Amino acid sequence: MTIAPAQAPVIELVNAARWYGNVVAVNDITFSLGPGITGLLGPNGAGKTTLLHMLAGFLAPSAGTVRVLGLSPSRDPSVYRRIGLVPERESVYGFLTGFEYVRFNARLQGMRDADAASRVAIERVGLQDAADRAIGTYSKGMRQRAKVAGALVHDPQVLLLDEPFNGMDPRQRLAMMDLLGEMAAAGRTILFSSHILEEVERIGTEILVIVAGRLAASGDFRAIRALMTDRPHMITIRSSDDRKLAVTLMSDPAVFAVTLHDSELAVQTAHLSAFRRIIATASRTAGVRLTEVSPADESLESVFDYLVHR
Amino acid sequence: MSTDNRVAASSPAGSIYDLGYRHYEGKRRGHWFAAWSLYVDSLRGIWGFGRPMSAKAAPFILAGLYALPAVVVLAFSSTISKSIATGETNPLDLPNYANYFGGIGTFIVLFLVAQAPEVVCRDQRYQVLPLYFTRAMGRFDYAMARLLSLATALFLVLMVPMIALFIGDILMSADAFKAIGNELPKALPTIPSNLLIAASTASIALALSSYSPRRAYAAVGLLAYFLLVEFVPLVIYGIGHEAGAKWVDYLPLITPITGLSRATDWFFGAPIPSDFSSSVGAGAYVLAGFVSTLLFTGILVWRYRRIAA
Amino acid sequence: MTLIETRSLTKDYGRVKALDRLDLGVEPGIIGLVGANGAGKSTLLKILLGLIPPTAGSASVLGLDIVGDAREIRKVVGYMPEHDCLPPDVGATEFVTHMARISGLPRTAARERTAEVLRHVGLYEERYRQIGGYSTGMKQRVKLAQALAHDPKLLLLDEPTNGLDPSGRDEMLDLIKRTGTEFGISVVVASHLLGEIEQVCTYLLAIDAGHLLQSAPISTFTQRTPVLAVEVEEGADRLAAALAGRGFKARQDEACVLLALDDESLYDAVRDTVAELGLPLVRIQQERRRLEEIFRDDAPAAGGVQ
Repeated sequence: MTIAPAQAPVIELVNAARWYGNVVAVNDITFSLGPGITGLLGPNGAGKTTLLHMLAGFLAPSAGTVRVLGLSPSRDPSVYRRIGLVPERESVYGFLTGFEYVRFNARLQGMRDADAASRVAIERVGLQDAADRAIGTYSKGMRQRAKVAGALVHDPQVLLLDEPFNGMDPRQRLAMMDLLGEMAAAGRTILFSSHILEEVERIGTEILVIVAGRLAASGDFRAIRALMTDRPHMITIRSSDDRKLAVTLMSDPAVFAVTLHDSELAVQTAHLSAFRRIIATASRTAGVRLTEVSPADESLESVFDYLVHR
Repeated sequence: MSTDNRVAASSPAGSIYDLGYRHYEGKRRGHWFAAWSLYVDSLRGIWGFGRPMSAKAAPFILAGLYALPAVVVLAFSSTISKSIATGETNPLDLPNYANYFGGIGTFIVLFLVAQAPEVVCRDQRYQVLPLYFTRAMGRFDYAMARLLSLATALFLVLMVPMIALFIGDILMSADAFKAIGNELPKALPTIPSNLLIAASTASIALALSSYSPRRAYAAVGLLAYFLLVEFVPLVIYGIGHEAGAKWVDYLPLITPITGLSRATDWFFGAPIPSDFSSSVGAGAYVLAGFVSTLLFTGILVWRYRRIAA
Repeated sequence: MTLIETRSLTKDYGRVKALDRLDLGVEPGIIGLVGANGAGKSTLLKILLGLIPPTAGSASVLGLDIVGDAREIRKVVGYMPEHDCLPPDVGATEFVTHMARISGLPRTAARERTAEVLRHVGLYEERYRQIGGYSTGMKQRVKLAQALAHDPKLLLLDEPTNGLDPSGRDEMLDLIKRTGTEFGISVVVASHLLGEIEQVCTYLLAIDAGHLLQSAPISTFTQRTPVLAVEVEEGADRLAAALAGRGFKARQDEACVLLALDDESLYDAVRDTVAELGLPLVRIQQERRRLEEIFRDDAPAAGGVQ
């Protein structure tokens, strides 16, 4: 994944599990992460929040090991100084101003110059103008940004975010994505959970997918797609004569199925590379003009759907 | 609604029926109907209908306890009437229409503490209010429907023992039909007096409960209010009266139970007991009851006008 | 008939102006409402619904004035709030029937409509269980059902996919689209997610700092640009060179070659060049603008090849 081979992983889980009575929230999960951004995906109730809380040290694993920066966060509070968590639920005191809240966090972390650090954090999330107003007056997106500022005021090595874009409008989201991107480029390890796949796709390609407590997939989602060999790839084609092209394509062994729709062709192939090499030639032979060729199910959405319903 | 099946496709041998979305072309009633629906639903909710069994426990038990003395009198009416005839029992010691509420009014307070929060706190707690306010009913309709439902429930609780006493009186007399003729005029004042009690206490309870989304806090707040506003003025009155101060005579006007039982006396033309020699006549208590009702109804309506949705 | 119209609509909270002389007008359809957080779009919805009064200006919904005909408006509008608004101790059937009656439907009609609407939103046996035990997806469906039960002419949905996972979101969006097209009910969807709006809506209203930022059909913002993108697994540089050699304006961007689509003959040239060079073709696609571009401060005026 995103590990430099010579370094120890920043986050490492080995057979980690967490249960509550009969409910197994996290079931035998093993993965490691290094610097960069990784998206944590999964249906509701799959165990994403539990996993993040285990990494933050709120929950000890019921089995297996959880290590952040080489230490067990639930047992070794010294690691908190280097972790920042942005939880999903509302967890800010409404009567504090934005600045006070961030400074509160800075002080909790034992920072010497809490004021200066807080100002920097506030500026990074773009809350300077509202920093002196009570958080109770903030909109949802502003509250989120305050939480993020509170989580990064102590400049943590690891940043964990649970649904961070919830409630943010497009501009704020773009800004937050830029911020996270900067931090990742600077060597931080960032793990964030989200339901908004179009956003996850935007930030990066590394993902972890959890389904019902189990790890369903990890890595670059395009590579994951390529591994989904039991599912033929689908390509959408628009041309000057769909039917004629369809006939030509069906005669090629790389093509598995062709579906004629109203104004387009849906081609399924089990051999993507082979198909890619023949499509232009086949069209030329048939004398058909190609106006559009696009992979129909390479998106994260499609990959996720497959992983969840496997 | 219509019984004809819309058809999507049909042949002599078979048909497929259209299950697509249908628009509603029927009658749409206005805000009176909406308020009435809420009123009925609210009233049912107070008695726990449409809720699990546990929700029925409090209201029925408390209402039952309130009615208990009257029911006991009714049950033992033959024994009691004999006992009165022999002079063992003084009729004035028995519960009657005029002294009933004053004697056992505590259970009304308990009923309110238990049920008033049920009426208004739920919608606030779960933020259902926007769904009401964006329908044909307005904020005023909502507040009044809830208030009337609680007042109705209370009125029922208050009247059940009255009816029991009435039946008891009929049974205790020699000639039933003649007794009905005699007793009815005596019983009639129970209606306006209990209406006043119902309206007055319900408006206080609901107005205060509406300020908290949490039932437990509302209940505690309500209990605290009734205890304080009942006993503190009476204590001060007691002390002041001993000291000969005249202004303390006005204090009992604000007490809910004592005040309303004095108001009841006015409806029955009964004299105020001698231990309560007050320069304030019973009529003043009736007026205080009206004023209180208007005041707290106003507070309730104001609360719902201002509440964010 | 204009669906929604506002004239100089203003909401002033003293410290902050949520709406500032807002002028807009939309026709029936599926309208996406996008805007900065907090003040702005939620305020607009609440004013249209009569939950809060405007400070100044006027507005009308379905031709009815929001001040004078507020009650009439509420009879024909359905509202799905963003926040949780369902009591946990009743079943969906009971709750939606109750709400339908509050909307003015007689008892029998309320029951029948509720049953139908719950079927349309996809709640089956669950409808008899208490709402407290529902998943987020089911709760959102109940919220939509209570908004539809009285057959409104206009639905106002505030962040309808909030809290739903990707499959739940797809189902809800599908439902919304069906409501707007099959059911014949106009819909206003307030959302932060431009992808959803692109997927479902036909018209866009963008509000920024109380003013109208954009008001136009979605197609305006997702138009095709005169740029053709050709992606190959390998050899993009050779492809770019070859096409440039044929006289087309070409620019290479990693695995992609961007070409100025001046002439239809470009398509054939691309096909033939790819075939001749024997390159694996991934994609040929005319670039489209994306909705989010209107929110980027550095928005380019139009796509193009330098």
